[in-house]
Amino acid sequence: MLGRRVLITDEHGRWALLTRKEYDRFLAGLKPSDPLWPVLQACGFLAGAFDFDAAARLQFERSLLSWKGPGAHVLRLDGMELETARRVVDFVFACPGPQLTLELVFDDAGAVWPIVWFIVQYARRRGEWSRRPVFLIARARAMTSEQADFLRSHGVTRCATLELAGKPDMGKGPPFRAQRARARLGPGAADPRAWVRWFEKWGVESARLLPAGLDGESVAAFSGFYGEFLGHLVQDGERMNLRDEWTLGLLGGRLWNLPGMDVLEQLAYDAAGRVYTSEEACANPEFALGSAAELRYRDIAQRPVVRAVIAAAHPDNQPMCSQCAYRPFCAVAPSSNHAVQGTVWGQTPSSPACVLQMGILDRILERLDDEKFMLLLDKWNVDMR
Amino acid sequence: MKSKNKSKKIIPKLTSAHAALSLDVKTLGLEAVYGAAYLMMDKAFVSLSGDRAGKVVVSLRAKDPKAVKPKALAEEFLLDLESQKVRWAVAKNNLPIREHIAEQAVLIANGTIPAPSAAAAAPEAAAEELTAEQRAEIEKLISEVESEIKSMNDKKVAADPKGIKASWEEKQEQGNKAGL
Repeated sequence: MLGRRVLITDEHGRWALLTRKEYDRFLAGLKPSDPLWPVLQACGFLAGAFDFDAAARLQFERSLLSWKGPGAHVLRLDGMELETARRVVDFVFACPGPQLTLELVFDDAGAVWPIVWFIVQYARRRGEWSRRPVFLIARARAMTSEQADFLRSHGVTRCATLELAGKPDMGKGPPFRAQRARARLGPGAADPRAWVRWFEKWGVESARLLPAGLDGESVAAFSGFYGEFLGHLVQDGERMNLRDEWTLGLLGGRLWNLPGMDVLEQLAYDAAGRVYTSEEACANPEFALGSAAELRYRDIAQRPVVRAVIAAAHPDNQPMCSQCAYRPFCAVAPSSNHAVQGTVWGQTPSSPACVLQMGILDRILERLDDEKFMLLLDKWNVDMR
Repeated sequence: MKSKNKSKKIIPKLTSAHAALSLDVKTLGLEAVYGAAYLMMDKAFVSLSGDRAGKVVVSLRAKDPKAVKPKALAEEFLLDLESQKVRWAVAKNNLPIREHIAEQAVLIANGTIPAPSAAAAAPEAAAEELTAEQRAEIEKLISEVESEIKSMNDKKVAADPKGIKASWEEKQEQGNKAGL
C-alpha cells in the first residue's frame, strides 16, 4: 500500500497504482469489459493477454544478460602516487562496457592536484583512443576556483561533499562551484524546502542526500527529511534544474544502475591501487580483489568475493526481496549489508540498510500518481510511463 | 474468513517468554514456513526444530519482551504464514512461464533471437594495446606531472626556509646531517 493506493509491479519494472477497489477487482479476475482491463493488459499483468515476446525482451534488457561491466570507477586519490594513478586508469580502461565513468574522490584538491590533473588528461586521451565515452567526476570537500575552472574546461563534473547541518545559510554557498552534491544530513538538519532553494541558488544540478548513520533514529530522520525534500523538488521542479539522484538511480530499474552496487555498478580503488568491489567496501580488506597493477579484469569473476556479492545482490536470491513490490527498483549493496550486519546477504527484515532504501522508495513511488512528478521524471529522462 | 479458520487450527503454545507453533509441512509447505519465520526476524528470535518433511516446531522469543508479547508474535507469524502460502503457490504456478521467458531472454542474448535494440546487443568494447605514439604521449604527460609535483614540493620547502614548521625530530635529523 502506498497511501491509499496499491502498487503492483512485475519483475521487469512495469507497474500500476490501483485503488483498493480496483485491486480487489484485479485479484478477483478482470473481465475484458472492465475499464481497467486495457490498462493492466498493456502493462502485462493479465494472464489471458500476456505478451511473452515483450516480457522476454524486457527480461533480456533488465537482467544481467545485458550487463556489460561496471560502468563507474571510484578512485580515492588522497595519498595516491602518480604511478599508481596511471596503473589504476589503465585497469579502468581494461574493463569492458560501452562507456566509463571515473569518479575522483579526495578531500582537498590542493593536496592531490597533480594526480587529479594527470588522471583528467590521461583518461581523456584513453577515452579518445578507445572510442568510448568517458565521464569524469571530481568529488571533493574543497578546491580553488582555478581548480574548479580547470575541471569545468575539461568536462569534469564537480561534486561537493557536504554535511547539511541545521538550516541553510543562503548567503554562504558550497565550498566550490559544484554541479552535483553528495550531502550527508548532519546534526539537526532542518527545513528541506530551504535546502532545495539553497541548492538551486548555488547552481547545484543534482543532489544525493545521505543519512547521518544507519541507526534507527538517523534513518527515520532521513526518511522524513528526504520525503519533504523530494516533495519540494516536485512542487517547483518545472522551473528548477535540481534533480534527485536517488530517483535517477533507483528508477533506472537495472541492478547495475543502483548507486554503490558492488561490482555490477562500480569498482573502487584505494590510494595504494587496490581494487575493491565498491567504494563502501574499501573499508574492508575482505572485499579487495587485488592490485590494479597486477589484476586482470577477466580474473575478477574468479574471485570468490565477487561471486558472493553478485549472488547476494540479486533480489531473486533474497528471500523477501523476490516477493517485494519494490523489487524492480531496489537492492541493497552486499558491502552495505556486510558493514551493518556482518554478512553480504544481510537479514532483510532487520536490516537498517533495507529500511533506508525502502523508505526512499516509499517517498518516490507514492508520487507515481502525481502528474507533476511524472512530468518531472520525463524532464529527468526517467522512463516510467 | 478462510485465513481466520486456518489460523484457528494452529494453536500456539504460549509461555511468558515463548510462543511455539507446531506446523504440518506437508499442508503448509516448507518454503512458506521458512518465509514467515524469516519475516519475524526483526522482532523475534526464531528457532525451528523437528522434521522438515513432517512436523516443524517454530519457536518465537521476542527481541524486546516488554514491547511484544508471545501471543502477538504468534498471531503475526500466522498472518505472515497465510500470506507466504499464497505467494509460494503463485510462484510455483508461474514457474513454467518464468522459465519460458528466461529461456527466450537467453536466446536473445545468444543472438538466436534478434536483440531488441542495437545498443543492447552491441559487442563489448575491448581493451586495446596502445601504439608507440600513444605511449610517447603518456610519457610526456607523466613527465609534466612529475615536474609539477617537484615544483609543489619545492614550494613547500621554500615556504618554510628557516625550518620553523619542522618538527623536533626533523630538526634533530637535519642537525645530525649537518654534523656529519
